[in-house]
Amino acid sequence: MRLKRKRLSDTMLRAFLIFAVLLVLTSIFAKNLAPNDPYTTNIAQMKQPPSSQYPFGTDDMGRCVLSRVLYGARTSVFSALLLVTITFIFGSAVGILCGYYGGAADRIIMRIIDGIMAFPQMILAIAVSGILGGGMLNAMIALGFAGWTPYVRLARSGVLAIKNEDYIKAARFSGSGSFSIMAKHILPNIFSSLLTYATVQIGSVMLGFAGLSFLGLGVKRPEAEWGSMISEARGFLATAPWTVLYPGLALVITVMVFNYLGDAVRDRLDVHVLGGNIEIEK
Amino acid sequence: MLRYIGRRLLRLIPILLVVSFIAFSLMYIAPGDPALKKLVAQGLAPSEEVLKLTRESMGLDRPFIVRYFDWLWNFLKGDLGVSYAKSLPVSQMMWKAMGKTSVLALSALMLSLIIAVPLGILTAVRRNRATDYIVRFFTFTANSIPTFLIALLLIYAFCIKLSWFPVLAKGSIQGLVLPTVALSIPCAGKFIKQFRAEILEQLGKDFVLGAQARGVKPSVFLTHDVLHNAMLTIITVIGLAIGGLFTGSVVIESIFQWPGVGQLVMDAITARDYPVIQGFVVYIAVIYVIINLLTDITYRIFDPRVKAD
Repeated sequence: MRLKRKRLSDTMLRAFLIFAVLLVLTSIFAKNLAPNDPYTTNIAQMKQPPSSQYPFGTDDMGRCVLSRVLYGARTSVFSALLLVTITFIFGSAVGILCGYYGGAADRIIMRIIDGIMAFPQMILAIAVSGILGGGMLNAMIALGFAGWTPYVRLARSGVLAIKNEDYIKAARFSGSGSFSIMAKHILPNIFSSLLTYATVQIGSVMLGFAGLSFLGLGVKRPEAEWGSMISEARGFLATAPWTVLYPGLALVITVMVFNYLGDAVRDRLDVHVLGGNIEIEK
Repeated sequence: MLRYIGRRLLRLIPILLVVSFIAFSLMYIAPGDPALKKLVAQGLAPSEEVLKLTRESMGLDRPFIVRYFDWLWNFLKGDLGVSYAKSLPVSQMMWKAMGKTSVLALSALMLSLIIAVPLGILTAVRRNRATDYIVRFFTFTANSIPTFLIALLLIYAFCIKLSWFPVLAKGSIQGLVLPTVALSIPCAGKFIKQFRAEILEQLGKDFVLGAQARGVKPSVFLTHDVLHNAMLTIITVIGLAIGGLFTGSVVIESIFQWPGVGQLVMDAITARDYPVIQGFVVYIAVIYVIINLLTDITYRIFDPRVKAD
């Protein structure tokens, strides 16, 4: 029974990894896949329903919706992956150092993190990017501002749990330096739970970016991004629903694939450290 | 119990200090001169003379940390400054808008519970059967759809195709229906997941096995024991949902023109009205912290076994 479940979760993991890789490839080769230029406006082709020339129709400025959706994949997928990678590395490093060395710096950093986590993450992101004035870089800063904190808590508690184990002591007595202990003995032990958390986060970070862009705080127009495309198109929902539908579908499918991937990774690595404490609301 | 509450309140102090410091600093992360930004937001011509006076009246010539404690002292007295754009006290604007947001958030919370409690029980009892898979697919989808898309789909279906509701809520009761539904779908998705897990755990406990062995009907121990314990889950999920509800309401309010804090802050961002953005952040954080504290305390009252701190 257990073996069967493990095999099933392996298959699931592989399937969703393939889906995720396909999405990344789509976003890389958006230029080659797009049938039209995503930024060429054409008044004569305004709000055309889907046709063979424009498979997803055109928007209010006659731009090809399919091409914009493909180019939007680049923005959405890459910015989410980049931000998750940055926060993952930074947060984990801070967490390992805090847990390993402890002391006053650790206490101060943990109080700061308590404070940051006292805000709902998106509320802080909306305020930060609103004050910084929008744009993709500012949106990343805004989401990253709170995004690194759960990794710190996770890594720190992982370190504290194993810090006084015999094999760590043995490594220390045999002359290993602090850095080598952290890199060779501590990190491998807590890596799977950190990686799981990072994978689970990809989907919600994507939703975060899309939300900021929808509110006009993410990418600047006319840059193709799903959230901002939906926001631009919402005024003519009645006359050209495809302008909302297709970027919406692309967003939902992508987020679902990454969410499933996160769940599959969690099941496969059998990580149960993700308690209610570090759950971040979307 | 009182000692526990006292300890929790004490632990709140450093958190609130950091929270207020972050909120205060927000004002200064924007590029440019704060005095100039204030004048631009008020639509005044920034001559050198006026700029100097504004800088002085804002206390910009004093050290940052002094200004912070000044601001904190005023905040403790309930004064969050004056809006640049509307010349009204920020706290007054917040209170009014917060009332509207609470109506929206509370009705969404109620609706989410109404949807999630029965579905959570159903999926747990019918584990790994068709119903379970269907509901789980729904919860998964609900967790992957952005709130704004749900709102637009609802508008498309019920306002444009069926014309059952007005598109813009403007604070009316009839206009409350769609924003509530839009806000509660992701929330319900999360709740169902929690309930399912909780009830499955309860169903695996010894007392349930014992009851089953004695031939007690499932409906009896479900309502008597399992659901009683699931009450604790309700308290937990409410605490978890608050952040999402506030975030969702910013988006929902800006779509349906519901005059709550979300709309207030989006207007403030457009108008570069920094004190309002700052006030918004502080209010939400304080409410969020207090609600989390209250859920923890309630949890302890309902379940005296919890000793973990």
